[in-house]
Amino acid sequence: MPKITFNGKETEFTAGESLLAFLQSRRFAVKSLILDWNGQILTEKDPLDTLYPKDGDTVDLFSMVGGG
Amino acid sequence: MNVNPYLSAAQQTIFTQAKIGIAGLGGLGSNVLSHLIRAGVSHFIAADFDTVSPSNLNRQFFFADQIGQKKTTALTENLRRINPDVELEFHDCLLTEENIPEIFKNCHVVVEAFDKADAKTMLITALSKTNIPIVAASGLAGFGKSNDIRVRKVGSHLYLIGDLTSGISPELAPASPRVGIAAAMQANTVIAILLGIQI
Repeated sequence: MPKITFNGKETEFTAGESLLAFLQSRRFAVKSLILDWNGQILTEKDPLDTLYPKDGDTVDLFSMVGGG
Repeated sequence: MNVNPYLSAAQQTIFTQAKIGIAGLGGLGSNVLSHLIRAGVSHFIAADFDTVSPSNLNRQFFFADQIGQKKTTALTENLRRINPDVELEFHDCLLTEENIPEIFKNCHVVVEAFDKADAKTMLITALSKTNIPIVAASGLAGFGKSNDIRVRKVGSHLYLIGDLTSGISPELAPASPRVGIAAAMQANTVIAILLGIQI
């Protein structure tokens, strides 16, 4: 099974699974999340359902919470 | 006027040429501006549509006799008391995904200083097609846990400051000490980016 480094941990994923499907399968709500996908910054406005991680990729999640 | 006599000539040149964008003039934005102006940065482009309200005084760089004034007007007055020569291009408007790239297009760094989580991600989305470094904040409400607030570099041009978890809620209000820590770290990160030193 292909693996990505997800939030610092080696994690298996289903080949052909989109970034959105990967996150949803792990119960992450995409709203107010910042994704760092191999150094590329993505938000909920990006077409996460059409982006596909590959074996060896790195995905890190950061949540944006209110206050300022 | 040079308010920071401790800068080297090289640092002074960099600070004089820098143009910094500030998105929002609340607890983060007003305090980031105060820090950067005292450090010797002198040219800013900022925007906020709001007026000063009594609930702002627990953390924002405004005063009781300014309640009801436009934040752009009140903050111009306060910041010019630090340095009368500071160049402030303040826009009294709502920032949107459409106008953000235009308003901040000539900035060397943009500070995300909004209150709401969806506005924070909106700014990051709006500037994602540019290579302008963004210094954003997430997780700074409440008291204590000072050491949980830190700077993370995300991707090539995003810097995230905060603990990423302490969002505002009815039980967790924003207050001067933690908002101030985050604002000071945002200002210090802007300076590190300008000088090319460790963040």
